Amino acid sequence: MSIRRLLLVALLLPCALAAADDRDTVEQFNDTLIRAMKSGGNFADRAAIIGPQVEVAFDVDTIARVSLGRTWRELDDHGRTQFAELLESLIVATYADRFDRFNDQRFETTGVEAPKADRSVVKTRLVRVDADAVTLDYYLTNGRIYNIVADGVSDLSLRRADYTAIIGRKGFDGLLADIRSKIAAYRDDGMDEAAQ
Amino acid sequence: MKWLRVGLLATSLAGLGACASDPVPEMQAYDPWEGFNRASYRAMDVADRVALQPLARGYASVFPAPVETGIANFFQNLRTPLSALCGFLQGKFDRGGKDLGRFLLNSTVGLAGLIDVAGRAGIEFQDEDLGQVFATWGYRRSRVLYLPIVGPTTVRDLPGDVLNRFLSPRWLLGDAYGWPVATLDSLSLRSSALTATDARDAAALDPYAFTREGNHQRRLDKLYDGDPPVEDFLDEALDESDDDAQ
Repeated sequence: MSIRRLLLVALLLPCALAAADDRDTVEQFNDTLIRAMKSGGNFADRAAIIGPQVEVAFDVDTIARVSLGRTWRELDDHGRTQFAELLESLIVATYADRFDRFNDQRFETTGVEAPKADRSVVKTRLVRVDADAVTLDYYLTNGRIYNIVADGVSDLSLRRADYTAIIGRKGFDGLLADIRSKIAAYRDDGMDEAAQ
Repeated sequence: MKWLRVGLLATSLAGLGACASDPVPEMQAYDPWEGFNRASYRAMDVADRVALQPLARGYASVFPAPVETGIANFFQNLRTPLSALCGFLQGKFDRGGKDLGRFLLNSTVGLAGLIDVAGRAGIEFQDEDLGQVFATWGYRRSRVLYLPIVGPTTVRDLPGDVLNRFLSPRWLLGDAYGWPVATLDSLSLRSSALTATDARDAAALDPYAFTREGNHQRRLDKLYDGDPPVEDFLDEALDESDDDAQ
């Protein structure tokens, strides 16, 4: 093998390994969602399954920073930590609410792209028996998920638009209160579901 | 013919609007009429919760899933020729051809569109519209509009929405597209959107802002034929972090 080829391999190998790791991260997270649905448990059970995986797979600090935009810069460390913790709880509650029952859904990984050195996009599909498939593109930075684009709609952009509107009308404390209410609503729905 | 004239007038107005394209980045929703739009959204939301949503849920529970799918297929088939035309007007001959092929196949073998034979053969509905035509012709950015009955749209997309939603099926069905059939069409459309609006209601803190952003991104997705550039804001956030550290 020529020196030039060796150099090329040395340059490309880390990228290929990182892409494989990112694919594993996403597939493990998708497997967790299937496991939560198959568990047949209630909202709290599903949240207990999904929570640890969100902690491992998601870059919640980056999601928090991007979602808040300028407001993030105005927060002290306490405010940032408080918001990131609340956001993580919201992400877990949202997944536990949406992925509530197993009906032969399955995830397929369709490809991995690396637009920049520290970023990758893992392309997947959620195949459902009773509805059209949904494309889910996971965006990762340094091996952790910071955005999910479902059928062309970016979760991060929705959060940013949603939170910016609330901060504009109610301020940062109003946003915290609304997120707490939303988590409580998911939990209450879960209790209603368990009671039925 | 009255409907045709209204459609053409609306189309011409959008064309004039194209001359005054709004100076904002394409990736962001431009909403200078937010006050009006929010008021319109609130009014429509009340009407939707009180009347349309319960009717759509009733419709979904009364008809078995295959019947519901057949009805949705039938009305989508009526909208396919317009989609084909809009594909051709953008120079997307493959997409226009697919829609034309779908229409011919589903209208005949698919029993007047009730069965999506073309979809099973891998010929998907391309969902082109007049708004995408105007965008291809250079009208890339437009003001957000939220109108009663029409829902979330933009100045550029409004004529296409009206043509697609109300006029396209009427052209093919003629007088048969009276109130009962139009009501069935509306209920079918609303019923198919229930999953999306339920997810929005569960997730959104500000449903208007959420709907506006979601619609804006869906339009970008269509303008880029399912492969839009995704603004992830990450570089901007990282730059700000560097500034903080200095």
